[in-house]
Amino acid sequence: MDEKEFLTELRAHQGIIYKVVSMYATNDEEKKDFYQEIVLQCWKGIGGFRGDAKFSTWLYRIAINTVLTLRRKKNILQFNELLPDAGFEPPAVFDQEDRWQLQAAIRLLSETDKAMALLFLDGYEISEMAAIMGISAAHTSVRMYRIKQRLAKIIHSKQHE
Amino acid sequence: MSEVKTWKQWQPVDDLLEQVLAAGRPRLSIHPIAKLQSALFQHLVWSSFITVGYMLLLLASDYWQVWLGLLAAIGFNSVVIWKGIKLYRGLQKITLADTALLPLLQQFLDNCRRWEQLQYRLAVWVYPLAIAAGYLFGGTMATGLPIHYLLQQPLFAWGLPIIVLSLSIAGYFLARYLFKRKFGRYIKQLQANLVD
Repeated sequence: MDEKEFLTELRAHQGIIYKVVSMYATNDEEKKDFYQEIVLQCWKGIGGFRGDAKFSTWLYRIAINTVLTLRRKKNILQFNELLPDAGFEPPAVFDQEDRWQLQAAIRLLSETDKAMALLFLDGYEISEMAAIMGISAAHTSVRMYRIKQRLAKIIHSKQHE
Repeated sequence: MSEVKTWKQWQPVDDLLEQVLAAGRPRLSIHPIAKLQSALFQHLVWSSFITVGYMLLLLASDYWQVWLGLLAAIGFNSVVIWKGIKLYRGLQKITLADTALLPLLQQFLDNCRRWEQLQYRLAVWVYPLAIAAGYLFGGTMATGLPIHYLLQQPLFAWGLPIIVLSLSIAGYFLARYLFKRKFGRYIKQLQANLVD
């Protein structure tokens, strides 16, 4: 993949970078640091991208590995920006309020659980999630079950507040 | 599930990200792996310079006692450099696109700890010899007198064990402090990420 193709692919999949970063960044400065580091790591790793995996999966892996190993402040939720609507027409069943609730709930999960929730929401299978996270499929399956339960509990309690 | 479907379809665009992409390839990494790599490289360069310095001192001295101490220090540095190069190469192989980054990082951190411990263990044996060599070499250079004559002088002879003992202990703790200062922060950061 040449430089031009790489940048085109990166732009086409920038939503992945945004979704991951928005779940981990605690402020604008950290958000920019994450963006820069992910883009840099993509440049560094592009030579090793053989095309046997989808570009989106490869990008997800780099984005998640970067935020999980770069984050400096743990569990400090100061960054309350809502997810933007650009490029998306929300259907009635999943409006701005639902998405905000889901985003807020995901942010309450542990760092690796956040990554797994993101992968699940983007439609990855258990085996793919296990490969990206570097853990066994059985462990991923059990953990995903608990994450869903926890998310449901958080959203339910928020709705009844 | 409708949430999954819509989340997957949703492709947000952020101006800040667009700016980063438009700026081309970022130059400096702030990642602890890159910082560790840089610190390790500097460490290897300095250790190599110091080892060459010891070799030059070896050539400048005529006494076997000094040679012994310097050879011990050169041997110690060579082992540390050799192990450090292996560690550096291992770190170079790790990329954030790795499928199992966390186990790889854990392996690297384990190797790093072993390297640190090796230095401390060797230091216990090497520092006294190297300090004694430095003391004797300094004595002969400053006075122009031979070692056997200097060792017959009570002040110089008593000074030897005192200097060796005090500087070995100080050197050991200084080495620990410098290692923690140079690498500790990044190792701690990566370690904290592995705990979750």
